[in-house]
Amino acid sequence: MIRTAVDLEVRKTRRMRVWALCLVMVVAVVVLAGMSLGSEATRAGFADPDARPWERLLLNHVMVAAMTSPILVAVLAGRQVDIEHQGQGWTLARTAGMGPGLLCRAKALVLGTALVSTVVAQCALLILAGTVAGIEPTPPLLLWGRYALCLTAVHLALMGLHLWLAARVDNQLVGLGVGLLGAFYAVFSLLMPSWVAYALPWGYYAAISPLRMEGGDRLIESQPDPVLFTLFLGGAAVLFLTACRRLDRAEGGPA
Amino acid sequence: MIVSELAKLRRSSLWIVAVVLPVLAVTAGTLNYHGNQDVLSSGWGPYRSQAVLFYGLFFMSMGVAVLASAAWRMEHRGNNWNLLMTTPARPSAIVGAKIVSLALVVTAMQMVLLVLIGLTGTWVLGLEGAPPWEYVPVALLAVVAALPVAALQSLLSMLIRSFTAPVALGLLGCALGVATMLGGEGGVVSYLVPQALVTSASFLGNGAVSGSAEIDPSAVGAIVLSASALTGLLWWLSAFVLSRRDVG
Repeated sequence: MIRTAVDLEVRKTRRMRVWALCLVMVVAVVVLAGMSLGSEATRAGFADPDARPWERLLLNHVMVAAMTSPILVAVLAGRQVDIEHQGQGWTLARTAGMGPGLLCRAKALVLGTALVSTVVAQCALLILAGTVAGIEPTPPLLLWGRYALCLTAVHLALMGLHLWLAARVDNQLVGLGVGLLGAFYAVFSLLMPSWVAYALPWGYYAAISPLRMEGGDRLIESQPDPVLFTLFLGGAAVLFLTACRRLDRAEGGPA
Repeated sequence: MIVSELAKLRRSSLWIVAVVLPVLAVTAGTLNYHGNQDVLSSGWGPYRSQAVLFYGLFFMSMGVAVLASAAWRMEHRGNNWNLLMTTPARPSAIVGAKIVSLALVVTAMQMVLLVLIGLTGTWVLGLEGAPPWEYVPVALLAVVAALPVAALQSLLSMLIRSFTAPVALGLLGCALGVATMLGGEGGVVSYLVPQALVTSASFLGNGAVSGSAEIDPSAVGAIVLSASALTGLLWWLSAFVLSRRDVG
């Protein structure tokens, strides 16, 4: 049954230009994060490994991803769920034997694939932009790869939350508003003490930063607290699956 | 019509975004200023810079995008579009009422921001003296600069039934706006991208951001002129599209 549901969701994504939305987001992130590549001050350090040009570009990526990702996730979840509210899709799917929970799981699989592609595209295009701009040292692929993996994991955890929210609350202003405020929280968590980043789910966009500034201008490697990060991801997965099961058991639509 | 638009908005949950966004901006700015007092110079200027840093860069325009989507959402629901089209009001009046009501909400948002900056600066951070009076005209200038964003997002939200798609396009606009303004090579183009105008107006006299202009008549005049022209153009375009196309 889940395969049929996923197949249907893939068809819906085509009609709703989900891939175009992802492309818009990729362009927005690459433009914002790669903006500094054109400045004279940044270009002066392209040949100097001590200036750590790749690490600075990666840090820009972290900041821009924290600022935009919560909105991207809210937009994708809201768009994919809103059609069910508008077109009585929950009832239609129920008559075909697919409960709202199953539908949400199928949406999570399809949107998850879209989000993974978005992260891969962002990272690849930024590394390409850095290379074309003339950064001479070797890019820190391992560091970037680890960040991409963590970013994907946080995307997926928050997507579960936003899918549930979009399914439960008919008014998509709520989900998008939460995403917007979450983006604010995520970007400011980068500037706050590290415990702030672990206090709310959106803060994990800052907690996964692979680099942080120390002593004003020195970049050092960093990583999220493994216990808290694992608990967050595990908790998000359990809560999403439990919520889906409850949606399947409830009578009528989820909202 | 404007009163009825405001009544519709009152029924939506949009006021939460309009209030919580400036509250978050000021809270984060206050914490950041307090935590970095050894790095930042003290006073109202650096504090305001921290409070409006990301707000002016990104979140104010995104907030307007969400508000515009919410303003048109009810028209796309049920048979409301048909009801709207059968009213004797001209298309320009329908679109104008939306833009004006959005401008009023943005004004309220700016006033909340201004009052909170004054209160937290005085009572929480204990900054010396009263907040500079220039902050009021700069906040109002940001409202003028937000008019083309409201008009553009209103047009997108009118054309696209989906609540979230116009917001995603607004995000792309923010990226272009920030790139043209802070890239330093935007020139005239930075006055043609609505989101760049919001950033320029919010950062007037802001020492924390490179490329921000001083508060002088030429900078203010350029923003007002550009905002008025863009708003007029987008208003006319929206009315034209509404009168020629069945977009419901």
